[in-house]
Amino acid sequence: MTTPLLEVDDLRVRFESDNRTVNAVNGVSFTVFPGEMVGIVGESGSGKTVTVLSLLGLVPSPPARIVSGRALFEGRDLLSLDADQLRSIRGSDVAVVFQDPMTSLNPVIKVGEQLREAMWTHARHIDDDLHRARAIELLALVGIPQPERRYHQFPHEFSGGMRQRAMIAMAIANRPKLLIADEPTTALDVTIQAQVLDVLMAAKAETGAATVLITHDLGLVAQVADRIAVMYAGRIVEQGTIEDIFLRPSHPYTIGLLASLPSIEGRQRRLYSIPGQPPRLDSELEGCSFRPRCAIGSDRALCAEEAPNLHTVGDGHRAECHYVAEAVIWAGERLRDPGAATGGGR
Amino acid sequence: MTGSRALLEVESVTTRYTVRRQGGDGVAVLTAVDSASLTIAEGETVGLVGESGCGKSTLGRTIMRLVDPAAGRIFFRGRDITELDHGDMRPVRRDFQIVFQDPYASLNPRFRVRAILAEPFRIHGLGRAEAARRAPELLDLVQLPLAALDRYPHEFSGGQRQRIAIARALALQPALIVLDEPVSALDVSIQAQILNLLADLKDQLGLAYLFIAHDLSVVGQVSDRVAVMYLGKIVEIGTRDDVFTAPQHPYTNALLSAVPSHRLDGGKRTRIVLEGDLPNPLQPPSGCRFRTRCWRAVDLCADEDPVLVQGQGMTQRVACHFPGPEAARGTRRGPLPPNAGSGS
Repeated sequence: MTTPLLEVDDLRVRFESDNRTVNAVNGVSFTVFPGEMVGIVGESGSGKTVTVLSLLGLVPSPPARIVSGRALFEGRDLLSLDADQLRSIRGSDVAVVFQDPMTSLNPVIKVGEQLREAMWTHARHIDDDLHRARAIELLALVGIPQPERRYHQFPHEFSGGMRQRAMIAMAIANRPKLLIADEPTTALDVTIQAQVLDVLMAAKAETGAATVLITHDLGLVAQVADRIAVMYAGRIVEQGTIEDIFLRPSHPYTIGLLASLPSIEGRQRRLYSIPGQPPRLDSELEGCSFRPRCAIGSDRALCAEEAPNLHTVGDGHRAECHYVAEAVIWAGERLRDPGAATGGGR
Repeated sequence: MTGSRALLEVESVTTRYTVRRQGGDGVAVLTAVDSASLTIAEGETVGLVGESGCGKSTLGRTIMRLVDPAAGRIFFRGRDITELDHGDMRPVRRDFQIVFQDPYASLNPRFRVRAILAEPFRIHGLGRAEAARRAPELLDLVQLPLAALDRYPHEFSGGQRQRIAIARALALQPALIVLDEPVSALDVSIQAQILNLLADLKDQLGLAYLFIAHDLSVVGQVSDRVAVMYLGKIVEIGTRDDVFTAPQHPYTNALLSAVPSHRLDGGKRTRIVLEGDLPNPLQPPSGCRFRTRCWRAVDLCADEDPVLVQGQGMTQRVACHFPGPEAARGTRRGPLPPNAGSGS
């Protein structure tokens, strides 16, 4: 196997304020290999964004504090770097695309200027003409029509989808090795989402960058990711290839999520719904954090007393559950033969 | 569709907003809903789907008489309510209610749940005793514990707040509830809880819903019939199964194909990636509004606005000069990601 580009080990991030402490990330480990797309999936508050952004010093500290962990990026531990060193990595080796392009673009600077600026910050030589040409080339690459004209426009003259394209152009301007996309299509309409997703894939193909896609949308990762990590309550509860996660889900949370998604292909009479609410992370959790909502372990002593370890389900496919074998059987019952779902009448 | 009488009939309703022009000079008229017609039968769920700015929420609000239509008629139980004034509308309002997307904004943060649920009774002059008597029953309907009565909205999660908003909508035993993006602010695991709750309430109380959402898979889960809107117009309307399995309008085809499938075999669907953005609604294209993004468009489409009609061999109505399902043709638009629909 090739060497990982990014290797995160036992990351723990806490938010501390005067009256409470929230354990947002509770021991997360994952790897990203060169050129692959890894999806980090979870619901709000699961810690998916904090996990990734804290590696780059993008989570304000205080209140955030990295309690432990290691994050080797090409052999260097990102968590040991100071602010200046991190800044030089961001935008060159690692680039980020955020959910909301409106707030990440400067409203009073022309889009082309912002693109050039992104290149200046990390270039040794300043060559205006070259940068201008490259900026226009990038705008064209992300599918912005009439890039020469668009170069001179302000962000407000761009639609939401076009702004997100411009953000992607900026992110890949310095040919990063790692591209982080945090809910890049969440703010966009369905038809525009499809366009931006294509652009993201094109950008990845163009630069060969490994991509970490942070999203709440399982359908989205199913379309583009190579591997997926599912997060719940600050931990990765299951990880594997897209086939592992979608065809052989082995953690009760993953199974519950898949079963609760409505599908346009066939309508179920009733959706499965995961009962209850995610746990609060401001106190120590006893046992398995998913237990209160779990279809398998909710009344089992082991689940209440002991936090489960990662169980290997298959090559590279791991689930954090005491009763993986039972979960797999339950998945079969719950998700078997989706086509059998009734097509109509209630 | 169900054979029961129409609860709500909307006939060629047009709603316009006056907006300030960019730059601040003068005003422009935006036609948010353009001559939309639909009916909802007793106990029926009609899904209204479209992207942001298509006019679906405006249509919902026009039906509720929260905005006044510029043209068209609205009938509720056969009675023309289009021009009723505020006072005359009040008794009618008991029969239809609205639930908004954001339960954070629609519940008064300074009221306890008890007071929130009493509000509709107060507005309609039904007295405190009735409100107090019904409150536990309403909480029970939305599966919240009785203890919730003495708590404030901020003490609840998003899903629980949406339950409170639904309980309030149920207070006066309405026949129709307009649900405007009721689950789009919620996480997946909570979304399913609310969708199931809505289905239960419908069965239990015989409610009709106008379910407005941008998410097709959600609309498909709850609807008996579906209407698709684009730039102010209803472009296709029919039963859920007809619209979802044999979409006729190119836009419906594109929308359905763009829904990310969580089943890997869903990748077998032909993905249609539309080119371009939504046109400026202040200057909609001539003829068919979808033509600027449509791969079937010819000169005719620029000249003539297609009307919503039931074509030969179809059961739904569609506004297109060249209707038909796309999958059969296998056309793909735009670049495809290298590993789209990859699977073993």
